[in-house]
Amino acid sequence: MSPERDTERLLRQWLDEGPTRAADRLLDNVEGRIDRQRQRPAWRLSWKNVFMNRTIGSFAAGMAVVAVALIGFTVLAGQNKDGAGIGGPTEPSAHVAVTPSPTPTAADPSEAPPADRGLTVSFTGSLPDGWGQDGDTFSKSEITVEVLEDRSVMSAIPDCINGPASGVGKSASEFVEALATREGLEVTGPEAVQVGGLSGQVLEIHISDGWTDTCPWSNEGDTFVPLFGTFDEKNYWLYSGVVGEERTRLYVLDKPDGGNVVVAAWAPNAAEWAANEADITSIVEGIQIDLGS
Amino acid sequence: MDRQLVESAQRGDKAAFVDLVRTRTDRLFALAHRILRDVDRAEDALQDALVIAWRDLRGLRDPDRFDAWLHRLVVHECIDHAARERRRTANLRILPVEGPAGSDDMLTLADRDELERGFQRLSPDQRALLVLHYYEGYPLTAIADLLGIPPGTVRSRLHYARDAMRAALDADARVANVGGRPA
Repeated sequence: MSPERDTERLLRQWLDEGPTRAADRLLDNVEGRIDRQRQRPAWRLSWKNVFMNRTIGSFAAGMAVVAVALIGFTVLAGQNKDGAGIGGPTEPSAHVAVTPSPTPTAADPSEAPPADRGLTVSFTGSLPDGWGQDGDTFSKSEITVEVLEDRSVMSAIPDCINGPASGVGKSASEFVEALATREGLEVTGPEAVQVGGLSGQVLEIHISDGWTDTCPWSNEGDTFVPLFGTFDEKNYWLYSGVVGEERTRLYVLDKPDGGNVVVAAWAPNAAEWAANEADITSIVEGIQIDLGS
Repeated sequence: MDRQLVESAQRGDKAAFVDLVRTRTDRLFALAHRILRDVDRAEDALQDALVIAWRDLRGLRDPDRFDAWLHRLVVHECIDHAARERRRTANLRILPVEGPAGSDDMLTLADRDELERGFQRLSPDQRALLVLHYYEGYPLTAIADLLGIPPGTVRSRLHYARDAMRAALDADARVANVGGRPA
């Protein structure tokens, strides 16, 4: 190939070659798989920026290594102190709830990493008219109340990193303090609260009047302020933010292991919020949270 | 019509979802194949992306943005699959391609081989950028929107990827010229 030949033209030609029809079995397989895949509730769930996530993922992995090393050091220090060997008596765990697995094993539940732990949400009250419950989510049209575990405060505008905010822990006090002072938000609270047997703080949030900003990766098509998120099992960053006229109330509850449970209520605007606020409060009051035994 | 299908699928109608993606599967498969350069891997990535689309469809706020949203999912899933493949295999994977040899206007077997080699050396996100721009014909702003990165970043990464391809082709051409010179 002579160097002066047009790279771009060759590239286009080359890319134009190749198959353009998918095999019929592909869609058959997808149909089979979605039969077993429940849809996630309609909360502000969006896809992370792959490029940034890889960096953040590496950072998170590095932090995990540090955490494991610290835990190991603590365990070893404890063993030296009380003379117990590996597998010997240990302090009772605050909770050992493990997300149900399709292939249960006899492994010690305390070996499960924190990210794999789950919680059980039950509802002891009576659902207001028009509301339904689907697992950890209660909804009525566009109004949603959802129970989420171990969320991290998200990076703020103008940084707009598609990942956790640096230096903010998961405790209720750190969580709400970070959001209460976040640019672009009008915040009421925080106030102390108890939900489902856990203590924490509650605050109400909407976008400030005159706020026009968003993040460059946001596909929400409106004013936007990032709130919190989590890495899923494939290390995708899933985030929730407040958009346009939305109203949200966040109950951020402390777990004994240092993590949190966030009960988030969302409404598309102030009018819908006002019309449904009593229902939302009643639902939250009926939520019971079981972290396991 | 598509908007109605999206809304039905968001309410849990699986048949509506299948109808919705059926008309898009070929194009998305072609896109996935260009990024991953392998039929099986392209099928795997596309399947995963479509299942994720079903799972997360209720989170799509504007049904009219379904196509852009689905494209984004597919591209991200391809990048994810490609990244995993790069971690698994250290060796370059060169696909045998049949084709005409000869004139300057047509791709020769050697061209294809050089392009394949150059392409495989790129990072998965650089490959995706090249495919979106040169195969799908997307302008930089659309790619920025699709991948969720600033247009300036797209421009610089595309520039780098194109230069890397040119360098790969030029390097191979220099080797060929030296090797083919008459004694």
